[in-house]
Amino acid sequence: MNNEAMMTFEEYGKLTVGTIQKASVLDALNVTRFGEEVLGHVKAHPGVNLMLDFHRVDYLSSAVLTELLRINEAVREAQGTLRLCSLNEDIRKVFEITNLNKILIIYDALEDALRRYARSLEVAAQEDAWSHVNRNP
Amino acid sequence: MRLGGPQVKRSGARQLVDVLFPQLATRAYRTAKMSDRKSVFESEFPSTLEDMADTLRRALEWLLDRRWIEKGEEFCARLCLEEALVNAVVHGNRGDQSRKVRLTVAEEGDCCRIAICDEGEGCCPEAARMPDAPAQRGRGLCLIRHFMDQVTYNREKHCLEMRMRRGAYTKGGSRHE
Repeated sequence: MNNEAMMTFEEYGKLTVGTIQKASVLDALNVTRFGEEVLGHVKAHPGVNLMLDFHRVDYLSSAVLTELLRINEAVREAQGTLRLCSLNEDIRKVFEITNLNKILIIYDALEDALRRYARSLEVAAQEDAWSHVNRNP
Repeated sequence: MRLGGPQVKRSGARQLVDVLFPQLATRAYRTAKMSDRKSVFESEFPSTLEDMADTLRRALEWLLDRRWIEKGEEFCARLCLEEALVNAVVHGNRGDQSRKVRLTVAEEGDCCRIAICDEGEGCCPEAARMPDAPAQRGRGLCLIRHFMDQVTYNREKHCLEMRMRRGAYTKGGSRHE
């Protein structure tokens, strides 16, 4: 396996988009590398609001689903949030069959996903502020 | 749809021939079985993910060549094959390279039989349900059960056997829902 990074991470305001660049196939062979790169970024950026963009990915196996759940746990422990976007039809089906679409939040194409993700963070911040006011009137 | 057993569906005309000329039907069936023997892909490999990936690639090429799947529409077949092979390597043989995994893909009428055998201690795939907890395993087998027409496990031979029908995995096919 070459040493070129599989992932790239770009910041869009409060959001970070992690794009899988070097693999159209995520499977048992490269899932460890994928997990290491994403978890490495999460560890280095506590509180990250991370969107994983799958638009280059044609195929993934259940090993990747398990890794995504691990990443989700790590992000939450680091007080961050995780979203997925741009899953093709086949991959979306896999998430539905395994009920992971009820655990992980999945958006459509990146542009719309960024807008919705930013909005959901704003709403969460407002709710947090209100609950703080209610606790300390 | 899951088939109740390993039977092969026949057309109405073929069923009529079977009823009217049972001897002919039996002879035709035997002939088909003999020719089917040539239509087999077999591979045995040590329990490494690299060898698994090589076998998976060749098996998919075979399925494409034999028109069980169409180019660009390999997703379901690829997923089921990979999940079963990874299970055999990682959970069956526990990555022990001295233990082999054997893959057999055989044409049987309008069905394709895929058998994956390992040399491990055996497991209980029938009991597998979709995991609730994130850390739990078993999603691969549940995906296989969803996409394949029939899935059975032979405990004595440590073999997972699954069957797929021709055309069911292409766009618009019944398994590609």
